[in-house]
Amino acid sequence: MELDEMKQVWARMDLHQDGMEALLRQDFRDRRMDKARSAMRWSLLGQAVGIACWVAFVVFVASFWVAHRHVTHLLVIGLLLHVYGIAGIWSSVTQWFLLSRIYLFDAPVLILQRRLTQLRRFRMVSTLALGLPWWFLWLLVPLVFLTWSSGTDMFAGASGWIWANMAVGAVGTGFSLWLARRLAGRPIKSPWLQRVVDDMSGCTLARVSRQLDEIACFEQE
Amino acid sequence: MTARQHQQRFESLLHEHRRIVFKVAGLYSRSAADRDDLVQEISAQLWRSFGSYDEARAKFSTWLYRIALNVAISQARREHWSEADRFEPLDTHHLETVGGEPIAEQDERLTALYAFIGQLDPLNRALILLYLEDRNYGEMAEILGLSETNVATKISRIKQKLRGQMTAAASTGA
Repeated sequence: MELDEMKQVWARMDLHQDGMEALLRQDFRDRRMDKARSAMRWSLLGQAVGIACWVAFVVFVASFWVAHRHVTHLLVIGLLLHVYGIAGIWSSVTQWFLLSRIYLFDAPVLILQRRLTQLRRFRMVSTLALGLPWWFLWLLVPLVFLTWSSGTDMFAGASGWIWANMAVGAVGTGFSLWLARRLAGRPIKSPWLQRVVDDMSGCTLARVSRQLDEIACFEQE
Repeated sequence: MTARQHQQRFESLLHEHRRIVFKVAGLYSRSAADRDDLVQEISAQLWRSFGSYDEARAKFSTWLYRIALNVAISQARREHWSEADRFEPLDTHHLETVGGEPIAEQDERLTALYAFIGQLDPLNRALILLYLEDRNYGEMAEILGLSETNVATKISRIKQKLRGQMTAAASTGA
């Protein structure tokens, strides 16, 4: 059968539409369409709120290390959190920008698919880059807040304990990556956990990169 | 234009072009339930984007194809589209001919058509859908974001591939 013959077969074929038409009407009756529209607006607004929170965090941390610049360990911790906050702002702003370029979904297919894949790749990499440091930050962030709110310098009082926890954090980071690689490719019941494992093991990155290659290949062939 | 009029205009345009939504959903889903979900997802995205639709920039059908294909391809990619997940033909009760002729009485060409489309990746599937829908190369290029020459080359390659497969199938059957 030639492709032109297929066109004739296709023209004679029609999908059974009754059920689908009813679905469309039902969606408007249930106001589901309006909810879908507002959900997208909330998503962009959520990103904007996220950026504002990161900016507030950086301003707070900057004022903290400036105020404690004469205490070396507090200055270093403050600067580390400052860098982390700037990375958070950069990640949120980039995601907001990438999201705003795709959210209407009306760009030509290849352009939109490329942008969407780039967004997925960026989101995955930045989530990992901002998530793994929490093996250390769970202790450093409360330490900064405690010093700021009550003037108690936890580090000065229990530096050994804090260094021990930092070491546990380093081991934990390595263990998380090792475990993700071990679990990669195995079926996991929880979709959330499956996504975390795929992200951490590099499976998602490999898949997204493959999709970008496919798009480029389709464009150039 | 009031919100009510805006919605009525959208519903009227969508009703007029609903076959496009159904065909795209049918081609990118693996079951009737999948297809219904995809129809809802596409129509929700169309409604989200309708506020920005500018008829001076693109025909409604072109705009609709872009969104419908983008939603369908994104969903296919999100669901880890792989060799194992390739297309399975819809159940026969989901298909009928325009004249109401039962599918069983159609020749095997429809099955062959679906089997062929089933081998294609999501992007080539979009290309073949537009071809089967008798869109001209200019419109296909506008929807996909390719040049007209590129579209023509790809169609020609698909034709060759199909011809090769049919020849191989005929020699195997002989």
